Amino acid sequence: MTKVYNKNDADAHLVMLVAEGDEKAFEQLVHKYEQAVFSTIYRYVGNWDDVEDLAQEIFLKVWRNAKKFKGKSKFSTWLYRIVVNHCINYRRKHKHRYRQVSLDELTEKGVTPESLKVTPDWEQRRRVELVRKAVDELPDRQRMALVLSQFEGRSYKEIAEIMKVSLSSVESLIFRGRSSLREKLAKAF
Amino acid sequence: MKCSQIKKKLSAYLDGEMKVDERQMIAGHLKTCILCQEELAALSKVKETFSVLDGMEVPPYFMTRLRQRIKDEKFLATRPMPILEKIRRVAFSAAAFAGVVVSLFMGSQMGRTLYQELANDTQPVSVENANILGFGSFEEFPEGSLSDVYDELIKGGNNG
Repeated sequence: MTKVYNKNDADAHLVMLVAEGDEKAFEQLVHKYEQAVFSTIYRYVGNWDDVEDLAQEIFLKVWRNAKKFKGKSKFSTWLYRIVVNHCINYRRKHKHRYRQVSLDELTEKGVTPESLKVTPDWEQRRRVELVRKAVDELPDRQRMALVLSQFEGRSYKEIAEIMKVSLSSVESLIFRGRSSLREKLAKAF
Repeated sequence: MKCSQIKKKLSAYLDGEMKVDERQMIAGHLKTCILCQEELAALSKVKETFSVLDGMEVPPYFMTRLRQRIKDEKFLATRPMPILEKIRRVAFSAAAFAGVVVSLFMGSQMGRTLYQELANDTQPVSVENANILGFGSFEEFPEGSLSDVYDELIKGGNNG
């Protein structure tokens, strides 16, 4: 049976070749999306250590399952779906790593002694740390929806396809995520 | 539309994710509602603050390591199964099958033995045990009792 790929998807032909075991086609796809995948994972997961392993698992899944890609959605949608599932599963398995210091504890007075504030960009780094901590405390799906919308430039409709939820759910996730961040960051800044 | 409903739409408005008519309706509301204007400004600030989250550069040897893993997977998929592994699999299947057969055989033997014991058991129940077990319920009704009268009635007796 011949698969019919989406003609609007520039990656469709490459995926067809990967399904036949073409490593060169696979490398082209990896080069195209590796930066976006790494950044998404890092912004979602929040620590350096496991980003590369996760990225490898994601692309290996693409390699193993290229034959199962039916072409009903774009390849990028399919890829991001794999990214979302892996990231959410990773967080659930490693919950203990994220119960270290809460945002409230981090913003207590006296956590960072004045003597340590020596670098000019200390304020910027502290800001990033506080934002990261606030994001870490968001529920998984709100966090993912925000990352996909703000950093990957995905439309709400694309996010709905990736996360397999309705458009109104995406609106709600992003609205609630931003509202939560607003409350958390108001205390911090 | 009430402010509470408008507020829920402000994120989508900020991200340009609205149909034209809905966008115009919200824009019209914002011109006159200071509270919703403040809400929009706050969401905009959150969006800007969120953007400080940095990404991550791809490590230089990522592709090399990925290629190696694909090679390893291809090798594992094509190599012949080691003899020990084949023996292990056959032994496991045989053991599982034997376990099922033995369980069925033992169950059947136990069932047969129990049936024979029950069939050979002809000892009458003692009076004491009969009372304990309520076998006294099978004695005749006391004469003149309501139960006795009813019993005679259903047997077609002469009681009036």
